[in-house]
Amino acid sequence: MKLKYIVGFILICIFAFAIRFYRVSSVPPALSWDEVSIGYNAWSILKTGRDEHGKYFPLDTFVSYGDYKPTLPVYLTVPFVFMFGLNEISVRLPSVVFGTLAVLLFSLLLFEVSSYFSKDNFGFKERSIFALIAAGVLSLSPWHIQLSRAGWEANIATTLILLGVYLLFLSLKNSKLWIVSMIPFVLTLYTFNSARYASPLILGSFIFLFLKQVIAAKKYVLMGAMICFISVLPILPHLLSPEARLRFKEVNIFTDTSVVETSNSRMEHDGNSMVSKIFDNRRIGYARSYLMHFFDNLEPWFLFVKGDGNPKFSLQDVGQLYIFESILLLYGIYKAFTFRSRISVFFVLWLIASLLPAGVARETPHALRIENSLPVFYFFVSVGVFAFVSPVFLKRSGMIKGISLATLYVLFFSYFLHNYFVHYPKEFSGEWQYGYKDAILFAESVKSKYSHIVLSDEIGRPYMYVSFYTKMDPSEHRNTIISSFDEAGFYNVKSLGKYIFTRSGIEKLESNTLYILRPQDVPASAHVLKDILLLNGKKVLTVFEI
Amino acid sequence: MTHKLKNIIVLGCIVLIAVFLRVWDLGNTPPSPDWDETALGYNAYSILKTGRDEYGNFLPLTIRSFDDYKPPLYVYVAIPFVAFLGLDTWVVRLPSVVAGVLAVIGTFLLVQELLRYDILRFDRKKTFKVLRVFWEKLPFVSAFLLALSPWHIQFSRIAFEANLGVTLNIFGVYFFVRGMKSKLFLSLSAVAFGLALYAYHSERLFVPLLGVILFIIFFRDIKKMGVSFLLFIVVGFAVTAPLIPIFTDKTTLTRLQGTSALADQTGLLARSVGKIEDDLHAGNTLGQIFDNRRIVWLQTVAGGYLSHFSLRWLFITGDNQRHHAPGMGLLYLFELPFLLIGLYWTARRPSILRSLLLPWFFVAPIAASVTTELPHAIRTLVFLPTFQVFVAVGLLESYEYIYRFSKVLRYMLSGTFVLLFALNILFFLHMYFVHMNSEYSASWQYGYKEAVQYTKDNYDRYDKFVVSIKLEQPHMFFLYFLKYPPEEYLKAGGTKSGGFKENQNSFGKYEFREIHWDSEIKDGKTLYIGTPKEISSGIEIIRYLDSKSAFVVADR
Repeated sequence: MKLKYIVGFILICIFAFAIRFYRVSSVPPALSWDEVSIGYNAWSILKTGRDEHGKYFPLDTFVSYGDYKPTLPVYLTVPFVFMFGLNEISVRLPSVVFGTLAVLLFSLLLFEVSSYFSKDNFGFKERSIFALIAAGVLSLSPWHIQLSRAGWEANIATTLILLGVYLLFLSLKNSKLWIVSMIPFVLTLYTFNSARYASPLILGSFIFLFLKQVIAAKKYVLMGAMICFISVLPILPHLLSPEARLRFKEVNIFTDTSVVETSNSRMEHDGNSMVSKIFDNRRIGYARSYLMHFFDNLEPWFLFVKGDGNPKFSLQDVGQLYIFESILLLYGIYKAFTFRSRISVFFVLWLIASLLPAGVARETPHALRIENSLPVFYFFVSVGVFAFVSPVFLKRSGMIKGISLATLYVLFFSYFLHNYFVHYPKEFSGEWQYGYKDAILFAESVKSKYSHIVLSDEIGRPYMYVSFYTKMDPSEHRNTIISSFDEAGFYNVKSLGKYIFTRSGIEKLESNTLYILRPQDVPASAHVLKDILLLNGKKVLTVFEI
Repeated sequence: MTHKLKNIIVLGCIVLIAVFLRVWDLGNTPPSPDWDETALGYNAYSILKTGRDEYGNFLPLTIRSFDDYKPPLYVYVAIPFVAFLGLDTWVVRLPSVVAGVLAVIGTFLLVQELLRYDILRFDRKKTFKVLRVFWEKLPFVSAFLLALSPWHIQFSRIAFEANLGVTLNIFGVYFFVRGMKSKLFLSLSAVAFGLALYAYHSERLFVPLLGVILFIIFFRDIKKMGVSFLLFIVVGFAVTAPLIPIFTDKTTLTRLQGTSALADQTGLLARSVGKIEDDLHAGNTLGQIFDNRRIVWLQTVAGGYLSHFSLRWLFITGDNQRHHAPGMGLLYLFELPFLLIGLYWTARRPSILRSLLLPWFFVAPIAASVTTELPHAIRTLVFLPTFQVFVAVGLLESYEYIYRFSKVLRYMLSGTFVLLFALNILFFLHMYFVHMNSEYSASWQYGYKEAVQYTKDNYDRYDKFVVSIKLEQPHMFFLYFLKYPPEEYLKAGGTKSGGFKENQNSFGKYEFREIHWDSEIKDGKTLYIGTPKEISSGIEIIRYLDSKSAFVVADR
């Protein structure tokens, strides 16, 4: 009896891994700049114990391009780089593995959570089926599959939050677990910038809702809190430093001056009356702008129709969830509250906690920054699916519902797979910094003939691609790089070994130099050696000499 | 008896609030009639004076107007108002105000009737644990929320056809529920639903759907009624029969085509065409099915439907500037939590309220979902008053919930809430009455009245007035503000439209066409009115209320 469910569970996990791993080195079509940076820093740590900037085993942050990357994803990449070398697979495997773990943990979490649902309707059998549905639904998720197939830090953070919440629910029954159950939340601070605000809020919501149980286990909770406190210490100076807030300034809505202008002109229109000072206040303007961005993340077209506007996170053909899941989501929310309202309230608070920090950003909706909320959506969808098909298992009658829903999933999943593997790489290779790999590998093959190689940095961060694809020795990288940090804190690289990086075309062309520039910057006198094409056939770079 | 008196006083206050918020400063806020309002007004005027519309059609059942073939009800309803009070903006808007106030009363009656029906049919305890509170307060709270609704106020203060439709929906359903006991009400219901089809395009899809819902819900009663239910069908058919030739006429369909989301084939299908070529190339049969344009259409329509459940649209931004006040959405933000609570509890308890309002709520955006520019506040106006009833349920449920707390806490909570509620409403009223005119005057096509006045003041100095058609249907604004005698206008041929005939509209000294400033005759005897883009400088600049220039007037 039990065995049946365990086998089913293992099969779904294998399936989830297979979907996330199949052709992961070529779809998405190229490594993004963040991925090469994580990969090369992992390689650098592995070989020398230092990052690209020469910092010895940084615990708080990797400076990288001046974007101060969290450290855990880099260290998680180290073993894969050790095993498989410096290539696409080892950079993406941590995310693939954590994505698969997420399916496993999500299923376990929902099994655990369902023990709080009404006992009459949720025996072991029902809970197991519920957990299997959960695993199945998440394994098929377009949102989760896409973020699990590239080296996104957010995906690792989401899995850690799932682990944390699962441990929290376990500690309600076994209070000794409180000692470790909060650690995953601390780890998210080391994993993903947006999670730094969401995780404490999620943890806080849980403690708030289950305060009685927390107080009852206060001895272990305090021990856990001590451990957390100690493990936060290494990153604390960085979190409080100006660098950590540097990038935040550029992306947040409160630096938008148009709100102040509107507010001022309205007050002027009202002759600065008392009423106007209340209602035309800029704080109301900002609150409105914040809510606008907050609700952006719940836009139906984003969730169900087109997905994130950035093709790195979405195909543009399928929403973050499948469109028919909108009905299941709605039904699931309704049903979940009838099953057990406190559990449902926790998931709603989890959702709000994940969206609260994301609303501060100008760029909304953002599938990556709100990935913390992904399990909430699938919790309600799973409840919806379960409630919709449960009569099938309970009464052993009317299989039609189950079969029709399964057919729907198969159809939509095939539609997603077809677009993802057949059309997506070709259509959006330009969005994935495609081109540097081919260009650099070509340049390496003819390198000996030239004294310099001039490479366009229009696509973004070419120096990292050079180091990555030439597997440059980290100490050589550090010794031959000529670089500086600009006022905004960004890391600019002028040259690296034979490579010189340039933004625009070159004024004075020299012989003995290999040029790799954008097609529009190629002079008439050029002797073109090779055109680098995107997967849709458009020229992206041209290799030439004089 | 005193209890009844109290109820009447409370309802009276709600109606007074509704009237006040809809009538106050009616002619000047919104700042100018937009093109649809002028067209409705002038066509009413024209039919009143001549029996014919601007094209010379005798008592038309579809108002051709700007080739958008408006449903006729508003024009005919406006005729008596125009006859008694003259052609003026506040008069043209008045039928909508009346409909809006009636909708508030209708909501009260409808909710009360539904609850009465519930008491007969359902077990008291199962239906509402707090039945007494609900029974007494729900109709009032629902009507009160509709009276204050930014969405409803917006469209009750302008001459838009959709608002009549909403009122007719409410009364149609109300009469239908009462009609389960009385034949008179059943035929009234058929009349209301029939008239709704004359009111607005969305209604033509929505009313039949609502009819199906009602038929299913009240199937038991209808079966009991037997043959006498035929009365409903006969009356309904009699009322709608004149419309049949319109429905089958091709020109009515042009409006649907013009606003259809599927009309822009090239833009919509560009990506799918590229993909299907690749599939053909690779011999991918499955792909040819998946990348089929029909799938794109399905996605577009489903996405259009879902777009109306956008919280950002409903609570924060709204859509077109003409559809909301600055800084406001369509509903109050404070309503959001109560909407969710109300939806949940409505869904949870078996009642006629649930069986009727939930399907109504989910069917409302269907007609709009095949159109462009979504989400769209007018095409989905048929949502009303479901939102308000759900919020009312949520409010009463929450009130019931906090009743278990200590008195102090209860007062603190409800006090805080009332304060937030009041602030939110005042914010809306401030934005609507103080800032909307100046900020959105361009959207309201402000400036025509001033332009017309200028030509009137200088009528004798010029032989000809040329107005640019870049200004969007200027002939209608001039007819409207000049109150140009329809007899004379029709004698001169009426409106010309379609093909390139827009360039040929003229009456009296007025001519409406494109202005090519460099090649115009500038002898000082012709006055030109155009956009700042067409005419760079002139003798007079007419400005929007935010002081950006709207029209330039020039004679040389």
